[in-house]
Amino acid sequence: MGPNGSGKSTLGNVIAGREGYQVTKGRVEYLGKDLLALEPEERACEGVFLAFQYPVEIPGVNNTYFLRAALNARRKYHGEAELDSVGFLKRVREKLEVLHIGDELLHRAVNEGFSGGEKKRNEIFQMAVLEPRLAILDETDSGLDIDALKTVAEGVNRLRSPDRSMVLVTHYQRLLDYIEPDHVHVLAGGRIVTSGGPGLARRLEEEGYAWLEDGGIAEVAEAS
Amino acid sequence: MSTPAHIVERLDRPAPESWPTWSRALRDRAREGFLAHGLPHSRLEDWKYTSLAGLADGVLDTIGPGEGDGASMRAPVIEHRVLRLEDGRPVDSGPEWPEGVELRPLSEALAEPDEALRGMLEALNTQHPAQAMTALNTADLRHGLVLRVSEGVDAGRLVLAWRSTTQGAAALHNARLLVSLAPGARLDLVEDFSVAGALNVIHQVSLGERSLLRHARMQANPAASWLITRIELAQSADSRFEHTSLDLGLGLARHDVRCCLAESGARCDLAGAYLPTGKAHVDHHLDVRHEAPGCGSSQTYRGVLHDEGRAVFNGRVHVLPGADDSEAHQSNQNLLLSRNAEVDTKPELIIEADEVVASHGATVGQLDELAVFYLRSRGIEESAARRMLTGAFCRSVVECIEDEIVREAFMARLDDHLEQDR
Repeated sequence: MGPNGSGKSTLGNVIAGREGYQVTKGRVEYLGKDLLALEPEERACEGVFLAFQYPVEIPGVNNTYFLRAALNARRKYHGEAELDSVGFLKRVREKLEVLHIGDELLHRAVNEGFSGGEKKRNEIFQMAVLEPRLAILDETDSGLDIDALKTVAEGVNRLRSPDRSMVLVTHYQRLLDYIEPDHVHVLAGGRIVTSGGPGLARRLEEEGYAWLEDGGIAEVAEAS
Repeated sequence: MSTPAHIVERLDRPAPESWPTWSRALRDRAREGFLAHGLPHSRLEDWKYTSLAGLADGVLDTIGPGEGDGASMRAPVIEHRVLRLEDGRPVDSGPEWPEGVELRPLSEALAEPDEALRGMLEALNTQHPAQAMTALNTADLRHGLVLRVSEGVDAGRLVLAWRSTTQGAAALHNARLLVSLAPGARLDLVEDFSVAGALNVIHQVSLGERSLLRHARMQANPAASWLITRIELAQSADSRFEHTSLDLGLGLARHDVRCCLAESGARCDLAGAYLPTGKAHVDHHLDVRHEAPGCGSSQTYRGVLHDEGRAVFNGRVHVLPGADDSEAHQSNQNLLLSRNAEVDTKPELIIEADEVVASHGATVGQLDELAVFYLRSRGIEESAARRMLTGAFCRSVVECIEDEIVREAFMARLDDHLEQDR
C-alpha cells in the first residue's frame, strides 16, 4: 500500500522487466538469481507474473492461442514437452471451472473490447493457467464493482499456496476484506516506510497516510 | 531501355484470320495508344510511386528462356476446381460446371459473333497515358477466359492458378478475363499467382442484379517479377462484390480496382493485406464510384513492411451527385518495421451527394511496444511476440473471407510467410 506516486507500480514494472525504467541502485535477487539480468520473458518463465493495472488489448490474437503459446514457452524453457491442444484445453477448462469463469473468454481476442472487470478477471485466469511462483497484482481491484472484486478476490484466494508469493498493490482496504494479507507494507517515496499485519491496512483506511508523515516514518526507521 | 516500339515488336503476334474485323481494329488502336505513350512513368500522378522502368530493362531484355526459378512448380493454394494458366494462357479446361455456366478460352469466344463480348472489350480506354498497360494488354489481346453464369445459378468455386514457364521469346505476358454474372448468379473466384517475369492481367466483370462475386487473390511471386492487375467492375442493383487481396511476393505488384456502383443497393467490399520484404513493392490503386443512391462500399487494407519493402495505397471513393444515402468506409493501416521501408498512402474521398455516411483513415506506425511487453511478460520470446502481433494485424483481413475453405487456405499461406519471415 502507499500513497499515489509512492512507487508501487514502478516496483512491479521493474520486477517484470518493463522498458522505460532504469535501475540506478540495488538489486533483485529471486530464487538465487539476479532477476534484473534476465529478459522479461525469462523472468516470466522463471515464475514471475505481473497482473497489469491496465491490461493491454491485443486485437487479432486469440486468448486461447496466446495462453497456449505462453504456457508452451514456459515448458520449453524448462525443457518440458509442449502441451498439445487437447492437454492444454483440459488444463484451461479446469482453471475456468475453479475460477467460475465462462469459457467464452477463450474465444475472444486478448482483452479486446473487455470491460474493466473482464480484463482483470482475464489477468487472474492467466495467472491460474501459468501458475507463477511470484505474482504481482498491480491495482487489480481498481475500477471493479463489488461482484467483480469478489470474483478476483476468490481467484486470488484459490491460488494461494505455500510455494507461491503474491504481492497485491492496492489503495484500498476493501480488497483486504476479501483477501487476508499475511503482511502489509507501506511504500512511500520509493521505500518501505512501515510494515505490519492486517491491522495496519485498517488503520491506513481510517487515518490515511498522513500519520506516517507525522513521525510514523521515524518510528519505523528507529525500530528497524 | 526498351522503347515502346521495341516492346510492341517483341509482343506483336497478329490476330488469327478467323477473328472479326472489330477485334483487329481494337488491337490496332490500342497498339497506337501504347506507341504514343510508352510504359507508364512517375510523372503520371497514378504512377508517381511505382516505376515500371525495371520491367523495360529487366524482363524484355535479360530474362530469356529457361530462367524460371521453380515458381511455376508451386501447388495451387486450393487444389480442387483448379484451372491452370501458364504465361497467361489457359492450359487445361478446368473443372466440371453445373448447367448454366459457360467457360471458354477468349481466343475461341472471339472467333464467333458476340455483341456482349464486343461491348465489354471496347469499353476500356486504351488512349490515356496512365492506361498504357491496358493499351498493351489490348494490343496483345489473345489469351484469357470468358466466364458466364446464367440467371440464378450458383457456379461454385473456380481456382485460377497462374504460373509461368519463361519459355517464350518475351517474358511479358498479357491475359484478359471476362466475367458476367446474370441476375441472382454467384461465383467464388480464387486466384493464385506464382509467376516469374511479367504478367499483365485485366479482369472485366459485369455483375447483374442481386448477383454475388467473391474474389480472393493471392500472389507469391519471386523477386524480379512484375504483376500488373486491373479489375474493371460494373455492378447492377443489389449486386455484391467481395474482394480480398493477399500480397506475399518479392517482386513488384500493381493492382488497380475500379468499381462502378451503377444501380441502387450495389455493394463492394475491398480488402487487402500486403507484406513486402526484401525489395518487394506493392501498389494498390482503388477507385470506387458511387453513381446511384443507396450503395455501399468499403476499403480495408493493411500492410506490414520489412527491409526495403515499399507499398503504395491510393484509395479513391467518389460519391457522385444524386448518389444519396451512400455509405463508404475506407481504412489503410501500415506497420513500418524497418528504417528503409516506405509507404505512400493517399485516401481520397470526393462527396457530391447528400446524406452520405463516409469515413476514411490512414495510419503508418510501429508495433505497440506495450503489447510486445505484455506478451513477453507472459513468457513469449520477443521475436515470437512481434511475429504474433504483426500476424494478428494482417490476419484480420484474411479473416474477413467468408468461405471457410478459402479463408483457411489463405491463412495457411500467410502463416507460412510469417514463419519464414525472420
